[in-house]
Amino acid sequence: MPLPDADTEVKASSDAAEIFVNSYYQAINSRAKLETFYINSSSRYSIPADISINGSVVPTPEEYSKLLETQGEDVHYEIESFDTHIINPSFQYGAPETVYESEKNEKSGRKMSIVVTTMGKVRFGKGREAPQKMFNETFVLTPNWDSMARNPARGLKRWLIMSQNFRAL
Amino acid sequence: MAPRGKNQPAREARNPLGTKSSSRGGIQKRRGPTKTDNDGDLDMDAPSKRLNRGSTNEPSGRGRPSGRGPSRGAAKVAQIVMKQLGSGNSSDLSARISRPTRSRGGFIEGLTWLRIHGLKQSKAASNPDGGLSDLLSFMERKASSLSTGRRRHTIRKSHRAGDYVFIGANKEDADEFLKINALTFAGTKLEVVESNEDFAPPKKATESPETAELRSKLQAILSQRYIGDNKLLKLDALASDAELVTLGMFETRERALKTFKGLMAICDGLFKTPQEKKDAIESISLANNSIDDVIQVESVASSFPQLKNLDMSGNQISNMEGLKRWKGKFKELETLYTTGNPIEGADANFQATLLEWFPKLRIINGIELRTAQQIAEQEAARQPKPIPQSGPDFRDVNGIGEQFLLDFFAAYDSNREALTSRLYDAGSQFSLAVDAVSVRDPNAPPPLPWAAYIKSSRNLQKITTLHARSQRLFKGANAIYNLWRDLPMTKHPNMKDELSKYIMDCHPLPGLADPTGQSQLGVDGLIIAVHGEFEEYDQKSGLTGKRSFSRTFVLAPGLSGSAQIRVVSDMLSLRAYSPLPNVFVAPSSAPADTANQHQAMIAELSKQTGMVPQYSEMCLSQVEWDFGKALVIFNEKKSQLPPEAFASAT
Repeated sequence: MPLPDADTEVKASSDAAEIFVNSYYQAINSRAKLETFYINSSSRYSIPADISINGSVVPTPEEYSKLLETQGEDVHYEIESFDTHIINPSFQYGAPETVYESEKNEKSGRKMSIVVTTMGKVRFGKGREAPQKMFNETFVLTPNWDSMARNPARGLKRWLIMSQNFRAL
Repeated sequence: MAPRGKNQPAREARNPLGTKSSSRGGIQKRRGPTKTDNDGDLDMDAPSKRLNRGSTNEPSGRGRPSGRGPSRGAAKVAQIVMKQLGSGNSSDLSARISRPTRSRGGFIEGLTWLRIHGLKQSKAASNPDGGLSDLLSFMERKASSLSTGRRRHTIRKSHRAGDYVFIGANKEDADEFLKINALTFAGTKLEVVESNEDFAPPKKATESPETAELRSKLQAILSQRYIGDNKLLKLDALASDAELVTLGMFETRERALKTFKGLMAICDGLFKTPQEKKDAIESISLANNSIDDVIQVESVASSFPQLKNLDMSGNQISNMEGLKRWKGKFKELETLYTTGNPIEGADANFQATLLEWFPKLRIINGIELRTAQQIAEQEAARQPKPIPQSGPDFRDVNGIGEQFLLDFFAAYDSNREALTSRLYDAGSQFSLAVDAVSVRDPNAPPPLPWAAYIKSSRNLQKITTLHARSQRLFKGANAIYNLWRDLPMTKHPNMKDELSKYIMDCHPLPGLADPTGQSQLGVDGLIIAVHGEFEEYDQKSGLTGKRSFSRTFVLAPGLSGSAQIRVVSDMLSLRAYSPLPNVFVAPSSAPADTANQHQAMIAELSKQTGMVPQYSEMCLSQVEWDFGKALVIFNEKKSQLPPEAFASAT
């Protein structure tokens, strides 16, 4: 089991977190579909993502999209801070029996699970005078095994949300 | 309106529609000229050639990409119209209309004015714009090639007056332009002399008498049709206005359209600010003008965007298509008359659609369909609303999470060393991230400085190098304690006593690494997110105060022989102090509010229609509680309703 070295761990995890944070909140702000961000979209995972929003469990990403929509027009999420740790450098859950180029992927940090925390503002309405609220959100991202196949479908995300915990503050 | 000499103050311009200004104090309150000045608009005739000129500090009108943009509407329309109306030199007229006053707004300090003769005699005079743009670019080109320096010489302002072209430029540039005197332009020798006159030369001599007369007649007609006391401009039945007919202004459809635009342009030219216009004219009647599509009078919307009352009765509008060009305009319109248009019989929904198109519209044909308060409520309903808060989503396992939190903050405040050695091991990670720009309570004291934390902040938004990202990730109990030792002392509220100062959520998390290697798929743990505040005492600076924090823990089962659990990951997010929402109180009263609102609407509809509440409710629920629509439906179906729908009149 060739685990990634310390530098690779930091680089791979922070790159993964950065790509995720940028694309996820952009998707929320543009009201794009969120399904592909979650383990629910991969047949490799037998469990759905655990999504907890302001203290309520939301069963599916679709439901979360609907909840976001009930907020109305012109709601904008803006990230001011994020950070990440590796939870498990060699995550196995849901992995296929033989992972394509398993060792190489593990060494490069592709098989790790990470926890990502974000903090920022939600702006309700347009303009400077619009009310704003702080929020803090925690994600656990796990490998998208499908993206590690020999010829993965284009556009697959490398990490998927297994756990999400949002609170407006 | 008499033509003005150069020193005559702009009385007419302060005096909309040429009427006596006695009854309209709002207009007289005007505080001098504003930026609506369109000085130099003459060269709008030649947008393409003038596009990239004027890299120098352009004051106002010039330098915008072309004359076609809607923002130049008024001046452009005025120019178009005056071309139709006048037989004489159109461009200096347009300049007059767009610049009725010659005042400080149009004057650039320190410009030297030159008078140029010869354009009219040149071959360029037959160009679409009378050759003005060619002349200007010729002069700039020539001046630059004649001068020794590399500087470009720029014409800052220009306008035509009769046989002359006047240009304004900096003193140095003007000196260069003077050298063009006696050079040949398009077959004609130019005369370039310094103009001793004020920058706008007397117009008296250059306006053709017919144009002036026509314009003053139109202005007189407008002034007769303005009822100052009611702030009403009556533009009804224009085609049967004897004077307009005499002038031949409605001979053909095209002519009529142009006349209307001309009238609007003259109106525009008379007001210096939108506020002035709004104060003077609140209502317009366009009744009985055979309008079948508002495209024919579209400019009313651009000239009077803040109009409150509009009478369109007695026209030929037969469907919503005929009103479409006004959709989204007239944002302040409150009253509309449409009686006598074919649409009344043709489109049963037209009133409801009108209410949708014009957000402030309340009264159609004298019937109030919704109150200002209802409009405000609908507006409020459209405002974005946060996702509601619920109490803790604390899906604990065997009370482990709860025990951990109760233990953790007390230990962090009192004995960090013992805490790290008890719950952290060689694989534990800690980092903190500072958000220095968070929303904070405006009434709270100024936020504490970040000096004590910023050196170790791992906010990846700010910390972008691999080296710094590695340095600021603290791994292993020792490294973590060494950092904590130097962080300010803290005091977290006692979780048992002051629960509402915290929000905590947790749920089980599978797939954690198993250091014993026994479980291939990993072990189950907990992920906890907790939000709260703490008091801080910074030993180094001596400062005390509050901060807000969020902290995420990933907990895994402890290794045999040591504690029950261990911390895999501890992520601290810090922000300025701002109290948390109290999620422990009953969830928000939103459903109750809706119910109350519905009851109020039922009562109001019953009041306005005489229906019993039961029928009002049926009616409202049919249209998804849109009050305006409910009234419209009621008016349509009134005759079909059974007697029991109405409260007895006695």
